[in-house]
Amino acid sequence: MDYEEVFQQIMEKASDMIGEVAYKQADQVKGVEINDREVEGEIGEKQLKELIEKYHKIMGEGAYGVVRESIKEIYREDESIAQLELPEEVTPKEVRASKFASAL
Amino acid sequence: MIPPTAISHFVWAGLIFLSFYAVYRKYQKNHNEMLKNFYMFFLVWSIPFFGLMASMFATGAYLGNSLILSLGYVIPHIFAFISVGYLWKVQSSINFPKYQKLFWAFVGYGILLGAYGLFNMPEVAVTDGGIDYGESLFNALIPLGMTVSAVMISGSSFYSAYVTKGDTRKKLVLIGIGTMLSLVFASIFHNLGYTLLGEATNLVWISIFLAVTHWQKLQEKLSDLRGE
Repeated sequence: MDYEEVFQQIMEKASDMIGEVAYKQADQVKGVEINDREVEGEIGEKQLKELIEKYHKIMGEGAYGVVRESIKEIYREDESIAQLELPEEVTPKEVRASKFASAL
Repeated sequence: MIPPTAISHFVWAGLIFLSFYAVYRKYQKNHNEMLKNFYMFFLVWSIPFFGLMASMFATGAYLGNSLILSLGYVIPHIFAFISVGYLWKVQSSINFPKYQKLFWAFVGYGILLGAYGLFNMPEVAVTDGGIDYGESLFNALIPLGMTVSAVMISGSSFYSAYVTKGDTRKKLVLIGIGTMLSLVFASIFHNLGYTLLGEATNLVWISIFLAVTHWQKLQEKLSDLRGE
């Protein structure tokens, strides 16, 4: 699991709520390009944070809920997402637990 | 004569220190705040709680000084609650980050308990090689505080286990069980005078935490045993 996959899934989840705007906002993240709804570029912690903040400006606190839900879904499929550095406000309990336990 | 309870607590302190060291080393590689709180739990439990208690019991018994024995019962228990506070910080940072501040409630309870103990000193004595904690309200306040703490901490740990999977779930279940055994059963058995049962419970919970903190090595050993 890497930041790019997380970025892609969050963007798709956000598009369920705000439609095309989700892709347009993602395209405005520095160093990121969206082609045919697919993310391209060097995606890291910084870009992911910027995307979340862009959604936060549009959707308010609800954006954190959408992102958290998306991360939860990824976690159910792939526990290794716990190895990534995610912003505190969007990190679900299960990922925090996994981050702790896997560090032991 | 040094009472066997003091000797056993030196051993327990040493074993718990191994857990501290294992988590501390992991923290050096990964500056995760939860790891820091987890190693602080082991460190405080190992040295100022079990280590200090064993030292004071041994000194008190050797010198035949009942004041040292009583102080050796009261003072280390202040640290026991501080140690438990760190374990709460680990669990709350997973499930209830806003309530990490409750750490200070554990510290406060420990200090109040210590103050009560100092003003109403329990009569601790060595009888037949074992430690007799006498009868006092202080003896009841320890398991009361520990039981409430254990319900909060192990409840949180079991809930985390429920929403996770794989090794994470196994480790969290073990931490929950270890917490119940250490904070509730070992404490109650000792205070009721069932020393052997209390010591056996100590052995079990310490082994559980050693397994959790040395997980990788344990898995490798188990694989070797299974011939994998």
